[in-house]
Amino acid sequence: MDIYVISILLAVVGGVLFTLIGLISGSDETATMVPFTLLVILLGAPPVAVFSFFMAAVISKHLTHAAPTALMGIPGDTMMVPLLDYTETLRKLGVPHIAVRKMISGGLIGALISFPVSLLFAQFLGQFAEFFKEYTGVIFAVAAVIIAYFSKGKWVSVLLIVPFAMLIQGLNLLSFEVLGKNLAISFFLGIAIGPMFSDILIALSSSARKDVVRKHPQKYNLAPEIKSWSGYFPNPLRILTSPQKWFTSFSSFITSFTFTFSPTGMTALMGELVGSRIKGLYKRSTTTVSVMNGVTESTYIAETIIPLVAFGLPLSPMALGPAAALFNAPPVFSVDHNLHHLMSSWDFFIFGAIGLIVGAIIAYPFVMNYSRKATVFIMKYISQEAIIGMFIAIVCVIAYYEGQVTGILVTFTVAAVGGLFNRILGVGSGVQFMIYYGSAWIMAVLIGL
Amino acid sequence: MNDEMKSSESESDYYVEILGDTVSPSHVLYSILISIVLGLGGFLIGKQFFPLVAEDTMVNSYSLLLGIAGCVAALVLSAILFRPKRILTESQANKEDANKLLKDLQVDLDEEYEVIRKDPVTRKEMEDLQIADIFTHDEKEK
Repeated sequence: MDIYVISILLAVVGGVLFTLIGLISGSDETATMVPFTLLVILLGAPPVAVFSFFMAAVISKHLTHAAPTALMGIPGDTMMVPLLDYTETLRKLGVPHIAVRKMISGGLIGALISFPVSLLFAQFLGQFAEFFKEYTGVIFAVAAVIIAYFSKGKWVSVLLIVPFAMLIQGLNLLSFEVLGKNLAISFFLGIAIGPMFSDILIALSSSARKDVVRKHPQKYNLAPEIKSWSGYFPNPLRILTSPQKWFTSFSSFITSFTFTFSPTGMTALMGELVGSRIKGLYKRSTTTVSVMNGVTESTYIAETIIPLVAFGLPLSPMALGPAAALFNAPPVFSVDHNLHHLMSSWDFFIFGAIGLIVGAIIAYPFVMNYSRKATVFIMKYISQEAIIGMFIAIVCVIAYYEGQVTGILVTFTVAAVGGLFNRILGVGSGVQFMIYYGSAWIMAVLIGL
Repeated sequence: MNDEMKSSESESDYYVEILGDTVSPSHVLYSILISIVLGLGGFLIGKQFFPLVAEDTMVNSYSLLLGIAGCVAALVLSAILFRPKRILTESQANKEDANKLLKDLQVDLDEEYEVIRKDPVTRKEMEDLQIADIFTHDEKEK
């Protein structure tokens, strides 16, 4: 069969599959992308078609993961955590479906900008790799201080950077002692479910419970449907206002170069930077979610493409996580024999574009047209109890997958501390992610760990 | 079935707010238990079963998929067993709700009013969504 036909078919499979997976709240990217990509590789798909499959999966998952985040207030995956405060505000205003549309329109723009930019950038790179790698820890520690200062908690957030870094590295040492490997997903999940877990803890505490007890059920006013486009395919440029387009494009462009940083960290950083400049609750929230979801797409694409095209080595958090199978999938791929060695720059451009276009065509209009219907369905039929239960269970399964009982214990320890820091002291999840990334460097400097 | 559910729910005299939505405490605990049993159970069964039919390298991945499937099954089961407590109205927020919301979100009304006044694109969006009134109720009365 023609290589293009296989690529398009696999892109369709990836697009449909991950459009659906994205709708499941809390489905971890690494945990879902790696097994499916590995499956496609081990089934013997040609390398270029594997790449199309992967790009289609990336874009469609990152468009649909906006839905659970905005509609239910449960992060679609860990990358969505920095958006939660803003989507909760929009949900309370009764416009969660607008939040979804702004987010995924920003996401699509982010993808279309970062794909060519990162591909071009990868051609020039090589020599800077060491610099980025060397200074990641410092950069994140500094970013943690800046974001902490601008967060709700302000000084307490700054003050707690070192203790939280100490907790993380302490747990890291402990789990290394038990398992012989470092945990990553478990820490992420812990920070992600922190706010929810602390609500549960507060409800269980007879002294603190009064803060969360309510006499009446929560009321939601859902805003009317406004459809500003005709036909099935909307134009993302018309969903966003001009400043939203510019902020999203600019931050997607910038983050296309920051390939060694945490995607979640960059999402929080760019979003908060833009958000702090905008007045007005509705305007600030909608703009921030557009920018943040644009950045989740751009960092994801850039962090896959740059190390893959420039080095063939997994040098970014993304390449070490969800895209890991593209670099190393024994017995088919290894670090000396993977897509980097098997594909030319033109191959990356053509088959990447196939994946992105097919994925976008499947996921974008689907979410745009049905987000309000989905909201009504979920609000009427899916109880918060069921969602909380599922989310806790998914976290347990994935943490167990990564580190058995140790993984689960690490996750819930981080969730308890991080969640109470977040809820009671105003130390946001974005700050916590930055501390996580900077913690090794911080502890190395302070106590020579 | 539905009636039975309603009567059992009316017995619960208070709710707890978790992640911005109200839930019944006992239902949350049951739902978490059901989900963990099905999710982790699926994963552990997969770890026992898949080595018999699949290659070693894929056992973990397949088990993970089975675990996630268990979580989704638990979502459906819990959604059927425990109905949502939230109240959904598809109309405009009334004044009482709007005031509670403003307090809840710690809104600076002067800032909001200035944005609505100076930014026609945002104002149009907010008017289409019928949420502009939430921020301007008090202004009109002044």
